[in-house]
Amino acid sequence: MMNNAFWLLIPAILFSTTGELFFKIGMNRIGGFEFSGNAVRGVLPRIVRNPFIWVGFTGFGLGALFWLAVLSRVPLSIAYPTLALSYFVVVIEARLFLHERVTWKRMLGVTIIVLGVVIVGLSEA
Amino acid sequence: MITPDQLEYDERADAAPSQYTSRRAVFQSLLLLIPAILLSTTGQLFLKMGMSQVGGFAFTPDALLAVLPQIAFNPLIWIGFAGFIGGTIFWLGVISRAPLSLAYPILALSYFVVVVEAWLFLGEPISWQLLLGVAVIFVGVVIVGLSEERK
Repeated sequence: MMNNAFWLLIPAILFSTTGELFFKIGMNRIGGFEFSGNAVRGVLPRIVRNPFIWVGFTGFGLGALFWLAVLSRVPLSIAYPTLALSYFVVVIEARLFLHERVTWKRMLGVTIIVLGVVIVGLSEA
Repeated sequence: MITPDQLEYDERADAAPSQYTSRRAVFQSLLLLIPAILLSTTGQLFLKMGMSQVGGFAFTPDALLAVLPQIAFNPLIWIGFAGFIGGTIFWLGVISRAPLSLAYPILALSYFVVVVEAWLFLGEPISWQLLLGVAVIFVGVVIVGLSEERK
């Protein structure tokens, strides 16, 4: 994993988490909405026309492409758990760019996740 | 469906809507996690099978141009993305009713499910180190879930 596809996993995670960040920025501007027919019909055009949402989907698409490249080279049982690195990246990005507060407990959790990913990545199954 | 008489009154004035949901409704929504997990993990299984057919590719413009149509027209890839979308819809159903701090750690069971599915259906080997790593990831996700603020 580490030599073979690690350098494809990093852009896969960065693109999809940054896409997520842009979804969040876009949806913060649009605001919460009810899941009723009328509300969804009212909000859908605003979602479709929001440039942040577009950037988000582009990030998602690019992330998916890199993820498929990872899958083409690494066993699924090893590749999939390493996606959990996203938790760490999202927390850092949300802290840096959205100024969300990160508690020490959350930091502890994502650090343990990174440790688990390293164990999986180094396992030569 | 949640009916008004199932709702519990919560004294905390600006509690999230999920806190007005009864325990029974939360439990029922957590049952939706089963299809959410199975659809998204089986989706990944199909993505892997599709990419095994397509094969490894280099990230050069020429290679990408050649491989993109192969990916776009591979039925296994389509099934994979459909599973992913289906799982996401069930997941949205769960988090619209159950607290995220409860649902998210349970979703992390997906890591075990993928390893077992890959072993069963793709014949991928499972090592103790892999299981240990997945267990450590699971513990981390549970801690992240518990750190969720209940406002």
